[in-house]
Amino acid sequence: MTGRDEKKTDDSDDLLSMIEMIIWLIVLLGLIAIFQSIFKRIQPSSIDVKVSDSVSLLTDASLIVVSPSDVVVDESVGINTSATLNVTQPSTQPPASETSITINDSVDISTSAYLSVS
Amino acid sequence: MDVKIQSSSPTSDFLSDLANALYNGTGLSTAYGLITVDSNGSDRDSTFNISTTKVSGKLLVSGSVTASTNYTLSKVKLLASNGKTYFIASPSSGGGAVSQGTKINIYFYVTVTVSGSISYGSIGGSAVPYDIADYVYDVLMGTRSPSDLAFDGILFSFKDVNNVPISVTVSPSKTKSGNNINFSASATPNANWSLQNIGVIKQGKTTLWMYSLDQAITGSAGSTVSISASISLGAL
Repeated sequence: MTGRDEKKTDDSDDLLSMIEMIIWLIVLLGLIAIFQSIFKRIQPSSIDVKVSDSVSLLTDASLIVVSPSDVVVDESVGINTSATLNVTQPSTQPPASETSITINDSVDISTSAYLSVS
Repeated sequence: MDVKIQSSSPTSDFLSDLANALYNGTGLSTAYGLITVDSNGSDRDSTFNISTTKVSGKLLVSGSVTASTNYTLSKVKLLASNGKTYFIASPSSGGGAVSQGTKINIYFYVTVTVSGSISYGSIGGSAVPYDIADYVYDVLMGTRSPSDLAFDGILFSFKDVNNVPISVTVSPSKTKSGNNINFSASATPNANWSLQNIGVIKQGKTTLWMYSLDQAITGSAGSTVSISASISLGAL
């Protein structure tokens, strides 16, 4: 084998090594991509919790200035509330009895009149 | 269980206050509370959370109490805001036995009526109620002042020979003795007239009641018609 042929053989080996390295690199990148995809699936998705709450107090206020030194605040807060109460008696207790009384009373205005013509 | 009330009557306090209201517009107060009374005459359970409403020409005062103990329900009182008892109702014989914890619903109806007569010689007639009952109810409900009951006008509903109204309103003179009220009034039309109805009115307000002759009477211009009347109060 001539010296030129030996150099050709070395160049071919270098090229094969490089191609092999590139293939391994591609395989490695592919594995990394696969692992990343798997990890993403394993990781819990994020949950956003938004709380929006408000409390309002309606109040009317009127300010009355009586004198430069006196400040009178007349303030009112109205509370409008309704409630329904439902009481269920234990079944062991007898039902509460109820009585109704109806009364008819009367007042009479009795009047008599006499006419005269003169 | 229903307890039936057999007899009841307005108290002398109520009649006195009503007489004063008719006479000078004072005295009569609003319904305030209901009290149950046992067979010994002792007050038992009361409520001041009452409702008042007009139902079919009557005043209904209603409220509920809960029996605080076992007793025989003997009477029910209707109290006024001036502290007086206006009505005492007694149940039928035997009364009603109530046990502790019993809820007692009370429906207290009050009816005001007007009865009476008018006469002129042999011609008779009757008293006709107008707004007097409503006015008394309104005072008891607190929606009207007792001054609205103080009649201050006598309306002679004259008509002339052409049947055209020539009404005359005069202020009556009133006297009061106990619960009796006497009043009189006179009118002199200036035209020949006929007359059948005479109203007792609260001027600017309404006709409280009216006297209606069975037939119209007639007279000439310048003649004077006088009415003298008396009012007494009591239970039917």
